[in-house]
Amino acid sequence: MRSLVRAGLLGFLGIALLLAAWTIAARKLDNAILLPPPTALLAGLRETLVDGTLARDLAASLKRVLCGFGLAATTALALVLTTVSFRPMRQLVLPVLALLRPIPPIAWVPIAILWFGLGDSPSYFVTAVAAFFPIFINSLAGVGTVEEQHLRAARCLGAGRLALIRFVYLPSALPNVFTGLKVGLGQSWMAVVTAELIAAQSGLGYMIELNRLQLETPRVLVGMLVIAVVGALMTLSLSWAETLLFPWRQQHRRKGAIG
Amino acid sequence: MAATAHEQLALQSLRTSIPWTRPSAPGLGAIALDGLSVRFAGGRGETVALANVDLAIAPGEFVAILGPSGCGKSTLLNVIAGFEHPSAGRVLVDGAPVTAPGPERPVVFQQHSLFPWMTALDNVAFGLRMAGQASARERARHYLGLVGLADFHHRYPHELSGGMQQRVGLARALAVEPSILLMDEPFGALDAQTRVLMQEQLLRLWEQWRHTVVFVTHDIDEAIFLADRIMVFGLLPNVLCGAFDVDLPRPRGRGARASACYQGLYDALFDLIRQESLKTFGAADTVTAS
Repeated sequence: MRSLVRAGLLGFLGIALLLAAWTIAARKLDNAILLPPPTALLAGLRETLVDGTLARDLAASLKRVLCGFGLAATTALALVLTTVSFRPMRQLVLPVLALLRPIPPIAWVPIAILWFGLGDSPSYFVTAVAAFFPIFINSLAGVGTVEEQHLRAARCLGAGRLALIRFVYLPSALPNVFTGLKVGLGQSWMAVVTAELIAAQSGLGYMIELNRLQLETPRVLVGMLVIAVVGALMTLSLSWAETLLFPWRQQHRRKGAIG
Repeated sequence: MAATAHEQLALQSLRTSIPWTRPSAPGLGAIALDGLSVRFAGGRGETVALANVDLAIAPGEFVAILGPSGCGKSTLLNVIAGFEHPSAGRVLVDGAPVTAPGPERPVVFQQHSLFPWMTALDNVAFGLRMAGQASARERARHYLGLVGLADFHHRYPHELSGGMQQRVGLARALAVEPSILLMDEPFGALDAQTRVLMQEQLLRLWEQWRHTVVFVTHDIDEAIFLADRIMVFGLLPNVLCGAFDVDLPRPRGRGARASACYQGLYDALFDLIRQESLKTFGAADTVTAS
């Protein structure tokens, strides 16, 4: 408990130091376009909240992430199920995915614009691509983590094929599936901003780009701040959900995610 | 991990005997191994895990399978359990050939076989659920109490000590009320103190229940203390190389280890297993010499 309080205090101190350094640098530089002070950011936040642009852009980004992420989760999990059920499918699909995986989501943006035009569609596509790989790879790894000892224990206690899937394979894989979803959501949140910088007429990425062109630097920083806070909230709430859903996983925390 | 105060207490409460009736039908639990051989195909040719084993185990008998590592004793247990299949010969349980694992002969494993996503109670209830028992949790509670862990029903395996985990594993196997209990070095990973307490607890349960037990171990002391009969497996080839009746009176307590009978058996077994173990040392010597 005590160390927790100390960690919290040190965390606040870190943020306070950043703000102090920023304030000093802004004053030294004295250029509101290159580096406005933190107070200007607050003013920008108030303005965008009042005129409703922030809420509108945030909503647009969230909608795209949820759609793209949902699309990715559905296809990735369906693909994991088929690769697990039919071995040839695995050999068919894995090389293709290994080839596509190194392409960063941003490199998909131009072809997405060509295929889907400007608007929401290319963003759905790019966020889905970004989320797909972590979900697919972690879930597939999850199926592999099932332990022979657990299978044997279940079988000698009378479990049949279906019971094995439901009571052994599924709970063995779920924590990794969840890790995949967590990493995937984070990736698609980053990807949506990237896509909106180039291929959209709304959203936080668009807001940043538009305000850069208009030299409204405080609003650029507001966009960045909101991206950071929303991303952190997503990760935090999913980590919290993880401890609720998988209480037995505390011991396995050391095993990292594959992203 | 040392036995915790809780554990000591739980074991003590167990000693005040629990009313018990044998749940499985009497006369069941006969095992017959008939010319059993198990070979594994490997990268460097075939490995013979077991060669031509004949063995008959009577219902209610406590048999220890003893031998140095690599002698195929775990393979023997896996074949009886139905996890592995014989290359030649057959395994009969109450006259019927074994083809697959089944709840009339569950296994207590060495460790880490509890389902980590289930509480202790749900682990014990698992077999009962598979059997479609309506009051699975109620009955599971009873069996958890039998190993002295009634108060730990809501704990997950990682929240239990090694000894407690093994007792949950024992309760899980007992809960399906089997005629045969297969035990694969179940106490091998525990510290010496806890191991002795577990042995005493197992004996107490078995003395009331009298199901057939096949207990695999490499610990001579454990084999003598627990078993009616000790089958020793040797190395190169992996054959049955000795059978010993243990004439210690039951119920056995701490005094059993002090008797002359125990000492004599211990020395005989020690010499036999030493001889068998030395074969691999001898083989290693010739390899380094050449």
